[in-house]
Order: sequence, then C-alpha cells, then structure tokens
Amino acid sequence: METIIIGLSIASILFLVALGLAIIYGAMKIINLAHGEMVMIGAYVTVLATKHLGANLYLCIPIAFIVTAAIGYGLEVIIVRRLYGRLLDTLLATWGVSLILQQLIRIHLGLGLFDIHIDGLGSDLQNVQVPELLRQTLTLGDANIPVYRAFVFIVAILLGCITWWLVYRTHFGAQLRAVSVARGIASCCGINEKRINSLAFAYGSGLAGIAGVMVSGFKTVSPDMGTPYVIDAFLVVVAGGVGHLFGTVASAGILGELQSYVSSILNDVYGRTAVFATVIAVLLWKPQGLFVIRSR
Amino acid sequence: MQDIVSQPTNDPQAGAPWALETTDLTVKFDEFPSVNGVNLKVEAGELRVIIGANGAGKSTLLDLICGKTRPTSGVILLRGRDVTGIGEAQIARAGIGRKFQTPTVFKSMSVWENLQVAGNKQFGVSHNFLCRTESSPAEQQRQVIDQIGLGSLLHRSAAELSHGQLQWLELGMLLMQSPSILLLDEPTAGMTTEETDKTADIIRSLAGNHTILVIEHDMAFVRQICRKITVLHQGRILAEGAAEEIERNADVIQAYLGSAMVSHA
Amino acid sequence: MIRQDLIAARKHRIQLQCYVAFIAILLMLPLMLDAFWLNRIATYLVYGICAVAICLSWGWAGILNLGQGAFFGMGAYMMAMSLTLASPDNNPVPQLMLLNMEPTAPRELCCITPGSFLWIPFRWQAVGVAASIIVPMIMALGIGYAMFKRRTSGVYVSIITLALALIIQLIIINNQPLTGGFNGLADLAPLTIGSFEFDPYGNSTYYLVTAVLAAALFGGRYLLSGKMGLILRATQEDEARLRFLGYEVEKYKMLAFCLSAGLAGLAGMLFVICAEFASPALMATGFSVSMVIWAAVGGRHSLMGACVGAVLVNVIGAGASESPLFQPIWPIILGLLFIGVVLVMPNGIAGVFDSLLDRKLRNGGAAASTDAKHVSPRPKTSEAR
Repeated sequence: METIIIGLSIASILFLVALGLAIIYGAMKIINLAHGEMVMIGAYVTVLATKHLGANLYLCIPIAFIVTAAIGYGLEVIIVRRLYGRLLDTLLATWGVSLILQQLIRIHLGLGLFDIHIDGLGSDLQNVQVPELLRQTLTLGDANIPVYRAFVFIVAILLGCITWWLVYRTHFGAQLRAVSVARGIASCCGINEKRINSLAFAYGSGLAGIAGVMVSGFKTVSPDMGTPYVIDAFLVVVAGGVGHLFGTVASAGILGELQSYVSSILNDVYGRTAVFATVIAVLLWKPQGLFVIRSR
Repeated sequence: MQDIVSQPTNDPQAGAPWALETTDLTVKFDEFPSVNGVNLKVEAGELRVIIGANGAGKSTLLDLICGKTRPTSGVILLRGRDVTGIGEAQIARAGIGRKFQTPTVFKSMSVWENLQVAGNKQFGVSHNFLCRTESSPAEQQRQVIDQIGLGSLLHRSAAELSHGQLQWLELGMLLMQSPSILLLDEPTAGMTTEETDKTADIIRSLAGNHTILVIEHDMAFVRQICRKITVLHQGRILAEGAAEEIERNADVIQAYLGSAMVSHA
Repeated sequence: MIRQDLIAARKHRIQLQCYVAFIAILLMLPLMLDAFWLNRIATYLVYGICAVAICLSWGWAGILNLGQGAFFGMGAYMMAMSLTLASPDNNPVPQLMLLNMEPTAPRELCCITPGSFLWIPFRWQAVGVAASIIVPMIMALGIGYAMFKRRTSGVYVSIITLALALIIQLIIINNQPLTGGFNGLADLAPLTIGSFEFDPYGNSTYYLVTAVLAAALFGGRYLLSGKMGLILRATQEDEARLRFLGYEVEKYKMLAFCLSAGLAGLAGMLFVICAEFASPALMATGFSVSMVIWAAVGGRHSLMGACVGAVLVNVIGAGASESPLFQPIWPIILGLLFIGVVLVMPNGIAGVFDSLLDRKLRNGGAAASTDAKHVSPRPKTSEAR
C-alpha cells in the first residue's frame, strides 16, 4: 500500500512538471530544456520567501507561479520566439539557457561576484520548512501516509483540472489549440499568435514553478536539481503521446508507480532504470506515444 | 456503374502478365475508403491516363502502387510479382518510379548531384561506402539530360531552378532511375503552354519502352499524349476507354457535369 | 555563367589545405608546450574526436545523439579494464574487487564477485583496445536497428539516446564491485605496446592522439566527399524521396550511427590513456550535450570545424576556470555562446568561413567564367548549402 502511495507521489510531481512541458511542447513544438530550471527556481523562491519574507509554503505557490511565469514570458520573447519550426535548435538553445540560470543561482544572481551573498542562494544545499499541518502522518489501515504526499497529490489534481479547463473551456484555450494546429494561419483569423505563445510559455513555466515549491518540501534544494526533472518530464510527455492531456496523466501515473514498485523491490537506481527502459520500449513499440490524436 | 473497357490495342500474349495489375485494391482511412476495390490492368509499354475529380483517389492510388501507403486489402502485381506491402525502396528497385505532384527534389544539392543520386544503380551501403562521385555525366546520361533540357544548368543548385525546371529535373531523375513503370502525378501542374507541350513530347517519346501512368486534369494535354483513359470516381473505376468514348460516356458526364473535362472542345 | 563545379573543386582543394595545415600545427605543438599543457591539449584533441563523431551522426546523417557519452564512456571503461589489470597492484584481481568482495569468495578473477569473469579477457591489452571500438558499435547497431527500422525520427531518437545513456550510467554506478561504481576506475597502468610505454604526459601519447585524429579527419573527409556523403545529404533533406529512389535509408543511418559510436569509443580509449581514469561522469547528460555544443560552435557540417570547436571551447574554458574573474561566469558565457550559435551562426565557425570562401570564389570566378553559352533565366546569389 505504501508503495502505491509513494508511486502516486512520484507521479504527482512528474505530472506537475510534465504538464507545463506538455503545453510547451505539445502546443508549441518547443523543446524547453530550461523547464527543469523553472522547477529549481520555484524551489529557490520558496527558500527565499520563507527565509526573508516569512511566508509559509501555501503562499509560496502563487509567488513562485508569478516569478517563473514572468521568467518564462521573458524567455519566450527574447529567445524562443525566433526558433519556431526549428525543433532541435530549441533543444540546444534552451540547454544554453539552463546553463545560465543554474550558474546565476550559484553566483547569487551576479552579486556573488562582488562578494555579496544572499542567504538562500549559492551552491550550498538549502532546505525548506514545511508548515506544521503538512508534517503529520495519517494512518490509513496499516499504511502510514505522510500528509505532505497527499497534499502534493491534491495540488497536482487541482492544477490538472484547472489546466484542462483552461485549454478546453476557455477562449484562450481555443486560441491556443488553434495556434498549435495551424501556426501562421491562425493569425489570419485574428488571433494574436505572439501573445498566445508568450502566455502559453509563461503558463507552462509557472506550473513548473509550482512543482518546484512542492519539491522543496521534501527534497534538498540545489542549483542542479532541475535537470533530472526535465528529463523525466520529457520522457513522460513523449511516452504519453504529445498533445494529449490524458496521455500525460496516464503516462505520469504508470511511470510513477513503476518507479516506486521497482524501487521497493530492488533499489532506487533500478527504479529509475526501469522507467527509462520502459519509455524506450514504449517509443519503439508506438513511436508516437501511447495515446495518439488521430489525424491524416 | 458501368465498366466500359475498350478493346486493347494489342492483345497481350497468352500467359504474359500485365505490366501492372491491381486486384480489389482498397485503402481505408478511419473507415473511409479512399480507394475502393480498384481493378487496374496496364499493359507493358502502355501510356495510361487517370483522371477524376479531386478526392477521387487518384494520388492515393499512386501512393498505394509505389508503396507510400499500405493497402487495407487487395493485391498489387508487378509483371505478375506480388509487391503489395513491401517497402518503398524495394518497390522502387523492382522498377516503379514516382514523380510527385509538387516537385520533390533535393534542393540542397546541384542538378547533377540530384541526377546522380537518382541514377545510381547500386543502392547497397557496402557499394556506396567508398565509391566516388562522378564529376560529369556519362554518354547515356547525357541523352537524358538533353531531353529534359537542363544541360547548361547541370551544376546549379536545385534551389535556384524555376518551377517548370524543377518539374523537369524530377522527370530527369525518374528517367535516370530508368524504372520500367513510371507514375507521373500531374506532371504539367503550374507549367506554361510551351512547357506543357515539351512535357507531352517527352512523355510520348518514353511510351513503348516504358509503361507510364499519368494523373492529369488538363484534358488538352491528355488528348495530346494518350490512347486509353481510366476515370476514377469516389475511389472506384467509373469508366475506361479512349478519350472520345470517355467524353461521350453518360456516367462520366453525370459525375462531372460542368467540369473542365467536358468543356474542352 | 559561373562554373559551379569549378568553384566547388577549388573549395574542395582549399579545405584540404586547411586540414593539412591544421594537422601540421598540431604536430608542431610539442615543441612549444610543457608536459602539463601537452597532456591537456591531447585530452582536448580527444574531445575533438568526439565532436567529429557527433558531426558525422548529426551534421551529416541528421541523428542528434544526446547520449554520445554512453559510447565514449563504454570505450573508456573497456580500455580502463585492461589497463587496470595491467597494473601490478591489481594482480590477480583489481583492488576494487578486493574491497567489495565477500569474505569467503576466492581471490580469482573468475569468481570473486558476480560478473567478474567478464574481466578475464581484458588481461590482454589488445582486447581492451578492440573492445573499446567494437562494443560501442555493437550497442549502436542494436539500438540503431530498433530505432531506424521503426522509422523513429528526430526528437524521439534524441530522447531515446538520452535515456539509453542514463540507463547505462545508472547500471555502471550501481555495480560497484564490478565497475568501481561512482568513483570509476583509477590506478591504471600506462598503455604498453611491446616494450614501448605511452607516457600520458609525453610526446608519445600526444602523437598517438594526433595520428588518430588525423586519420579520423582525412578518412571521414574521404568518405563524405564520395557517394556516401551525397546520399547522407539527401537523407537529411528528404528521407522519403530517397526511399522512392530505391535506397534503404535505415541502413545508411545505421552505418553513420555505428561509425559515430565506434569513433566515440575510440576517443574514450584515448581519453583513458591521457587522463588515466574512467568514471560514470563521462556518461553524464551534461557531458554528452557538451559534445553537441562543441560541434555546434565549430560547425556541425564540418569535421574539422567540429574538432576546432571542441578544442577552442575547452581551451577557453580552461583559461576561464583559472581566472578568478571568469571562473564564476564561464558557464554563463558558454550558455550565451550556445544560444548565440543557434540563433546567429547555425553552421558554426566553419559555416562562417565557408560563406566567406564562397563569396570570394564567386567574385573571383565571375571574372574567369569559361562557359558563357547560356545565361540562366533567374540569377540568384543564394548559397547552395
């Protein structure tokens, strides 16, 4: 039972990170390797906000969202915008961005060069204090469920629903879907493509920021914590089927549970190995991912 | 739906297989049959034109024959040999060459490089591994190049050619491939009248030595080049016969009432 | 009309001269550098070979391999295993196995730890050398077959190679008794052929690396200037069209992929000779992507460009890490460089040289045109590549 709970917890984080990536890749065909750094920045925002502003974890969620969304918006306007249609180039350029972002944190946003150190930044590991309520453990039957894991799960589901509503039930979402299917032509219908792209990128980055807040609650925060997340998220998105929200959910769920299960039997390393091997197998069996949108 | 088949101009020898034959060829995209039970029989050396409205399944039929699309059911026979569902490369090597509706050449390479790639008879990796390229064409290849009229543009980049020249380059590539069966998808699309006439000359000169299947809309061009027409409508063969018969055929007129097909004098 | 083929021939000759000049410069460096820097440059030349491998698979065959570190690392480990066993400390069994063994296990290579028998062939150095090239090629053959037969394209290939490298890295880290785990293999003997010992800090190792690099550059150039190069260029532009001409595109991609893997393995082998260790860090994603960065900066379509890119980036990086001013901002500069190359110089430094050369030859060629029969209907000055 505990394995399942842990699996859901892993899946929740995977899902949160993958959701933002799914929007950015699925809707806009951009490979954003800096997405992991958005998670990292979300975590650092939590560290700084709790240290300097005295905010609690709940408040950090909207703060992190705003910060990372703003950074994402800036990234799109400055760099990503010029790379539409050049898929592999977006991969390379965003990797460059991730190098920069990581190092900026290490050198205290540049102030470290002048020997000014901001408490909470730098190369050291950081930790976040989680609110009292979330540090408890529930006992359900014979299983101990940390409340924090349940909290993450709830947040993931909530954001998934909000995103679904946003993409499929709002005007913005309709425009986004139009742009993703018919780039260039959508603007002939009066859609401001540039704005939609920037907002979508910002939203996706914001989701990653929230994921970062969640992660900071139970993992140590360091400048290079983001890379594994973006790799895992990518595997989730691609295995689930690009452009398919449900595919991302299913994929995150399956891979999360798989990792938890294998980890409990063997060890963590084999858990991750199993996930990677499964994704490779899925991609070789169904090159477009598990769930494909049928189109000619 | 009548099946008018005119008498073949020369009876195939008893037992000799058709150059190209399809039996009940069908392909369905999400339950919609784009090509529906087509039985096509083409003789060796014949020049056959396929016409029909947009969406009739003409290009799809060529896609099936050259291996781009897999049929849902049915058989494709090349000189009696079953080539259904084998890969595009194998079909090409078996002797089927395709020219596409929009000219697809390698724009990053020169005209001569395009022709070389097409005319390279050895496809294996081991052969091409250390093989050098030729800097200029051999004698037989010169003939093809003169035929398509690109002799002076041999070393130009393909990206610099005009639309008509691109069509000819692709035709040239097809000729270099020297397949026994040529599939031409609207070879005169976007061409001027002179270019169309020249293309008609080239195609006519090829018939006899090659079996040619042409998709076309331009009836004037069609009358210039061929003897037998197959009309496709909604994935099925509606009628087959010589141009005059087709134009008088009641079913065909009904299907395309007012279309360009009937308007040409 | 400008004779395109004459221009192309002249370009070819000039490029060949550049290659020769490059190698000549490299051969003269030992006269100017001390042992420490010689070893460093040798290592960077090894990275250059990696970049050449990336250029072959990415710039020419269109396969962006984000897990090149796996092939490089495997090559390194194969050689390192042989050199470990060649060291007197590691006879009859390597120290690392002694540290991790069950107390009751026999001190024999065959059975001291599960899987240790795999080490036995590596007692012969020749096996290590051969395995460092062959094992990555076999891996590439396997994964390449699975991917290309299924017509996996672009992004998915990159992701699969990325995931594969991660798997291999995890497996190596997880098997400490067999592979040295996180710390890898150190305490190696130097490479010895006959009675000649290759000193990592001496001229012998440097010349060995330079010789292999020269072979890779000239061999690769010879290969790509022939029909193979033509077919690979066509593959990149329009695979489907090439199939309709009769070519089995999968086989060509597999060939390029395997050659690239073998070359990377060879580079790994040379790395171990220069750096005297092998570790899972060589298989890390960051390192694999670095190789792509080097090739992108130098020129993904040019073998020598990729090599120069690797050497340049690493030399500047080494200089930066020793300067207290630049050391903290070097990753930022690298990131900006990468973004800049993608946005502004997609063909890298070599691409810039190529355009300049093109322009110069055309201006010179117009005055010397020999074929004035036909004026092209639409004279365009756009570049062919």
